[in-house]
Amino acid sequence: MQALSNLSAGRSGSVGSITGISWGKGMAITITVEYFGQLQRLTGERVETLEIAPNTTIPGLLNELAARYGERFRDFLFTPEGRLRPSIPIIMDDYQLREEQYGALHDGARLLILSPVAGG
Amino acid sequence: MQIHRQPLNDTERATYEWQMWVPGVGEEGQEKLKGATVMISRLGGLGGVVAYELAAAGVGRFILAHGGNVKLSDLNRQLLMTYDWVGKPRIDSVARRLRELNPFAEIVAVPEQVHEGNAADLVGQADLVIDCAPLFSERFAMNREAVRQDKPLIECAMYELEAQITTIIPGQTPCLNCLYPEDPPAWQREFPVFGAVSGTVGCLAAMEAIKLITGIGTPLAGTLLVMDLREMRFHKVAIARNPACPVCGD
Repeated sequence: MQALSNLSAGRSGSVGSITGISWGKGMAITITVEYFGQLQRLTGERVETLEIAPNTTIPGLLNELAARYGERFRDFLFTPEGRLRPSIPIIMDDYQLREEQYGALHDGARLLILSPVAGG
Repeated sequence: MQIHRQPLNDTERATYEWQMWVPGVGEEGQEKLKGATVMISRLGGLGGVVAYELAAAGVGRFILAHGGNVKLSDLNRQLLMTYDWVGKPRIDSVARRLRELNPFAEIVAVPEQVHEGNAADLVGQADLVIDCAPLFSERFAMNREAVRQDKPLIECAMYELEAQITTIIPGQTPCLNCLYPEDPPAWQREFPVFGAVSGTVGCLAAMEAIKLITGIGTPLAGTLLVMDLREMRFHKVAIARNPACPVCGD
């Protein structure tokens, strides 16, 4: 995994990012990802802070996470054709994103990946 | 939502005195609760608590749908079921327990789950619908009818130590199909559950219903409250409307 690393200590010194702005080589942005429902079991994580390459898109990030967490995680998030399943709500900064909004992540983004639940 | 107020008698004034002290409720709000008809799909760990709280609060009429017989594995969370009722119809236990609490409420007990064939009739009898079903097929049927009939729908659900709740106001907010556009293939009918989690979101759903009926406070309209009770993480999330939604889209 080249573009994704867990943040160990301190921030990368990035100053923020906006979709479409190019970044200098070696810079990274920091995001947090929270997992819910069955995704917690598949990842073993609840919340993680990650350093990622600037201009990483949400599908790009999820593909990298799938490479880290394995086939069951990938099958949960993606169809066999590689499309993100519509039944997995993706939340960024407290707003649900529609598929056409799956653009680049910004520095400090807070991503929630929900699992569909119907238990009572 | 137009609720026809029903006047209170002296017993009801005495019973609900303390909650009528809540600012914005008063006798008028209590009369709205008495005049309201609430439909609840499934009366298990979640829906049973919703019904119990609303019966305690003085809701006047219930349409309650739940099939099957009481099993031992129901009893860790389904507070309207009891050991002496194992093997007997769940809906009868529900009606019995609610009448013990509020003998003045009218209870229409339907001994079946919600499905495409009965959703229109069940939703049509209610002012407000609360969905606590464990299958997305049942939830989608309720959502479709609530939107079609312009009835508010409270969607609440749980899994393990987590829960989600939102309030759908047709014509104003996204609907369940906007949040979940397809039946999630990974959802399983049997799920890990503590009754305290079901009960937590059940109480929140009852509070949403009380707010919608009486007009107090701000409901979770268009907002999904996501809860992780293991770590006490709470998020309020704005749900995105899907303009192409086959249920509520343009």
